[in-house]
Amino acid sequence: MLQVNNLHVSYGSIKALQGVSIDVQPGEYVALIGTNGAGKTTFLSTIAGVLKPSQGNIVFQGQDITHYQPEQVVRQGIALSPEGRRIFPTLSVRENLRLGAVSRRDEKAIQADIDEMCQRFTILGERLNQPGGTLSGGEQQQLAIARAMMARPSLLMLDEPSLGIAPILVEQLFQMIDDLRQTGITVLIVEQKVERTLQLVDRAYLIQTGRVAKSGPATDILAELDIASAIFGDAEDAKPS
Amino acid sequence: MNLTDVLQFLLSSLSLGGLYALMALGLSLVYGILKLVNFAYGEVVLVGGYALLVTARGPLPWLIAALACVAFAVIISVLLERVAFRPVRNASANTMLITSFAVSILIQNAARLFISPRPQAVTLPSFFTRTIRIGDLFISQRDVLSLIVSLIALGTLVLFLRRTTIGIAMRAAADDFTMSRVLGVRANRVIALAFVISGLLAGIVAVFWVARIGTITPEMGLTPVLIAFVAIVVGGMDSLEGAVLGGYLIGFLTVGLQTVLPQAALEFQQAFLFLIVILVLLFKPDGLISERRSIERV
Repeated sequence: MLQVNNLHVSYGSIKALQGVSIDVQPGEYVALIGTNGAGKTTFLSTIAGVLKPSQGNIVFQGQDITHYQPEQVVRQGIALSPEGRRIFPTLSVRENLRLGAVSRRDEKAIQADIDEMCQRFTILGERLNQPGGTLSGGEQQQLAIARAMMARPSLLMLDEPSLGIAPILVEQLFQMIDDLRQTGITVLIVEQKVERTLQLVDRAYLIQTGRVAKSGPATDILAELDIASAIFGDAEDAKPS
Repeated sequence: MNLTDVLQFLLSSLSLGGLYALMALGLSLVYGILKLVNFAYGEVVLVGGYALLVTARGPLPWLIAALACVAFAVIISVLLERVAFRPVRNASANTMLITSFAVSILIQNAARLFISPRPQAVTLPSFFTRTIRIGDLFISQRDVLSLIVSLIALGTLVLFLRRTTIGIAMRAAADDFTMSRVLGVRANRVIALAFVISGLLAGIVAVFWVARIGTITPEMGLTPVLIAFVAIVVGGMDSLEGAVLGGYLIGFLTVGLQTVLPQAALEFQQAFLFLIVILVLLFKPDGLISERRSIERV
């Protein structure tokens, strides 16, 4: 479904990605794990069309989308729930959701989808007319995911969904993401909560300093990390390094 | 101060403030999305003014002339976006700012060269110059009309920004332009639309501004754009509501100072105005409305 080949991305003279290749099959949950600054967010932003790669290509459902603008990428069926959520603070929850479907034309189905999102993420239904900026971190994260889902994407990219969320809500959030499997959606997730993420996904790529260091079924990577942590001590966020 | 004075003051302030609010809103709409303070905005008013000047001399009804004024303001605004600002859209904010100054100077000088450096008198219809007397109250029809038209324009714009999808997309683009594009908002479309609306507002202002001063000079756009800029700074750079509030506030201050200042101090009216602006900014450096920052929660 998604093939990324030898992707290179730089910020000025700093090379953030140095030849990352991954592929994602339809219906799969795939994770990118790795420490801060490994280039995971850069990777998702590049697929979304926000950053331009200096080398490599991105093929989605047979289309080369390497040089697409962000507004074209979402029309191909890729939606992003970005790092830091980036809810529009002055827009109401409803307006945020409506904009998630700005690439669509089917007004009736859009309204139905807003209702469906409110059932899936009940807190959004209660806050529908409140400005997005007044929501708590966890609520904003749900809104960011729901907003991305409003595009009816075939590939949903989630960037650090657990970042800045109260620890007791994190498990709930992972559950919600897991529940999306019923919709048949494909998920590419970037997360720092490595262990929990590896329990969620089917496969994972370990990214280190802009390169793929390891890849394989999530259970294998989890087992390897368990051995590593048994030897080097246990610190959730530090595990992959 | 008796009731008549108060009414007189309110009418003058609201009619002048309405024009400032429209200008400020036009400037703020573009600023919100492009982070460009379009200093060539005054020249959009100027071009509208010249269109009015030419058509008002002809045999056509004055309303047609007013519509021509608005139409030309829209056309020049959209043209500026395509020709001047789109090529430098991805350059630094400074490049865009300098571009807007360049365009401003270019149009002003073109006006001096091809039209006239001297003031051109505009034919005004009688309903603009007439005043109605109710008791001690003198009501200028022009002021009433400008008050009503600016309120209608503001109201329509609010409805457009709240009720239509493209309107919501414009507000989102002003909040976070890149994120709006990730969701699928077409960059070229919202930017072009921002220039259409801002041209429309400038055109409306041009009609009433010309009606106020009666003549057109190549420098005519300077005051409105400067006042509008001050209005958005006072109101809050990132807030459309702030722009409207700032516009009305400057309107009230201008008329208020005219009323309270002694005759000898009247020529320093602008100095007093800006003194008050500085005081406001000392206590509210982000402007009166800076909701984006205050709302943000982690």
